[in-house]
Amino acid sequence: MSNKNGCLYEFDPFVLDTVQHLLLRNSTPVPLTPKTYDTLLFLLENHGRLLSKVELMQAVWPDSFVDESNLTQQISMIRRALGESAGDDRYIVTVTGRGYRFAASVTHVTPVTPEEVLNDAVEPIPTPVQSIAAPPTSRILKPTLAVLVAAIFVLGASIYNKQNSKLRPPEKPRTLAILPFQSLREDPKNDFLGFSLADAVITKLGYVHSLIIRPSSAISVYKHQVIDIPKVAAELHVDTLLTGNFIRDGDDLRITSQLIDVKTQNILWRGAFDLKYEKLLTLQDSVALQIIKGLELSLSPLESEKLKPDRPIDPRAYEYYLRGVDLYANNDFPLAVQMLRKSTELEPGYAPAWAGLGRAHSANASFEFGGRDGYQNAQVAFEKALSLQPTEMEAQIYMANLLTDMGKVERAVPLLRQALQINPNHAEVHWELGYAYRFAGMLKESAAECEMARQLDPGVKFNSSALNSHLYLGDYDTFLNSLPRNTDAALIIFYRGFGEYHKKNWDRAAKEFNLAYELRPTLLQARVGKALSEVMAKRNGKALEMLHDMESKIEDRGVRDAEASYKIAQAYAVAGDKKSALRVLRQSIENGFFSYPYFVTDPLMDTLRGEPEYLRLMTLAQQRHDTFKKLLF
Amino acid sequence: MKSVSIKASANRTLGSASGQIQYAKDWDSPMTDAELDAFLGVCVNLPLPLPLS
Repeated sequence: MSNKNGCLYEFDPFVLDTVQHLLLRNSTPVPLTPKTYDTLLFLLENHGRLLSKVELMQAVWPDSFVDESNLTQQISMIRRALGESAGDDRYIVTVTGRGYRFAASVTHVTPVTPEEVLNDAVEPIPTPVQSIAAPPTSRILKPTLAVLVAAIFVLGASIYNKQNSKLRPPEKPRTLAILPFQSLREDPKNDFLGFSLADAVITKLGYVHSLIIRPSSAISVYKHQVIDIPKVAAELHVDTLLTGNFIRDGDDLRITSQLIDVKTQNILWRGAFDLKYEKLLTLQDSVALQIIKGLELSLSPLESEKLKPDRPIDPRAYEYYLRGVDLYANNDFPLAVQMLRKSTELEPGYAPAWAGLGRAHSANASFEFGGRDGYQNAQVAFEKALSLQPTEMEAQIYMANLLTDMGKVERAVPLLRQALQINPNHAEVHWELGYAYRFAGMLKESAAECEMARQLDPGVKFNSSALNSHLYLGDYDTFLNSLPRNTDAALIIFYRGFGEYHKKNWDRAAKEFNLAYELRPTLLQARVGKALSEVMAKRNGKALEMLHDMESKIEDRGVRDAEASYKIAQAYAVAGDKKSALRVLRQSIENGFFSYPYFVTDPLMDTLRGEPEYLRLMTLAQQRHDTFKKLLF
Repeated sequence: MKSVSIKASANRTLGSASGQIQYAKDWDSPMTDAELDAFLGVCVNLPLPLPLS
């Protein structure tokens, strides 16, 4: 019954993908049982035609005799999946006593070859050259937006068609880093383009699961650097690099770029784009398309859909967006907020700008004492990004992170799981899921997600987060081994001290704690480490003074990191102030850190075990942990 | 594309995949938990009900 070649049936706002066996609503999968899928497919294949019940039953259950009630049930399930209520005949019309007809307008998309369109519409793409030493091509593409829209869509459909004969993605996905584009001349006014254009392409390709792409945070260090390809590839653990240059002259912009296979040193694609500055938005789509073509990647229909060019927006809004992205990478969060806000004011329908604004607000709150307002503004911005584009990956990831930090981890996890449905190889999503799981006490699952993230990208959150779940599981050696060596990141040095502390290597622990504090005395974790170091030196009074000071600062800011609060509670407990330990422990649990299995085995909390308040708090944590587990596992 | 609409206390009309965002001009405060759950339910098939946080 099914179409062996694969195709798409589009009926607003749904798409039925016969290769993936997926029903999508606005690109979001809608769950269907296999029989419901078969029934819907048969209805779509015969849309507009009255199908008798017998005909339908023979098609859906070809080898068995079934009662008519089974068909009625399948029709009912389809209607529910489509959001159609009884009597509402928008999609399926019941013809009493006879059968059913699929009445809505259906478009049957039959893929065609890219050559058919590219030959007609676009100048030939430069053919791959074989060596880095080969002279640069002089061919320049002058694509119009309309042509690119058509080309990308049809190429996507074609790649999807090709996928029918080899459905499996490559066993080892390509790993790619897109390096900041380098300006060919001293041009401070347009310097922002180098990083932000690379970031735009990275974001665009984040949906492609057969490609593991390094995040923008990993490539920002290569701005303005002379690139040693083997060295950079080794640092980023990638087998493919995209490098490029740009030069702007008034309204004219020329970009040259090359895609390099690091191992063979072959250039997989090289191209140049001449375009008017106002058409800058089209560049990210063109480069993304060429990477997919150069790497011969297979795309699912969903990925093809995601890679469709963005609709045209006000060029000024796009420039503000790019400037905001660049400022964010330079850690200038207040100015990034201003730029991204301007972008959203000019173009309120551009989801990436809202996602970027959310990130900038969130970072501003965390690192620049933006306080509670910053988190609220971030949430509003993410809500708007997701309302415009429910599968906007950046918004999903960072909204989930924000929700976890705001004590709403139950809401974060489904967002991240949806992101993994789109791209199961996205390292940052796995890491954030591991982060969320450990808040909820799903420690083994958390460790597995973070390990997966590091397997996909050894550099993910390298100096900004740790595999805490190993520590929480009591596996101290694995935890210590997971930490980067030779780093000057105070957070990581604190965690090394924390691991040694748990192993009762007091001298090593004190050394690391003191170093972390020396490097970054404002970091909350470094201050907790310093307090523990004071306790080890029998200066409990000094430790308690530090901890009280931290508590009041957190209170003033109104922004709480519930996991970090737990560490303050631990330090209070170790320093002998049970009352404060229990107070902060309650705050930590109520603010969303309810890692119950960790709590009951945590040696730093041993002095609290007999306290009635401790028992009450453990009941609270256990209840939420159990509900989380029941709900989401 | 159809717009994703949530009937909410703040009378927000959330945006649409076609990019034609429509929302109340006073949408400058985050959604309540109930609104968020309804919204995420549309976005990600969030299992409901959720425990209060």
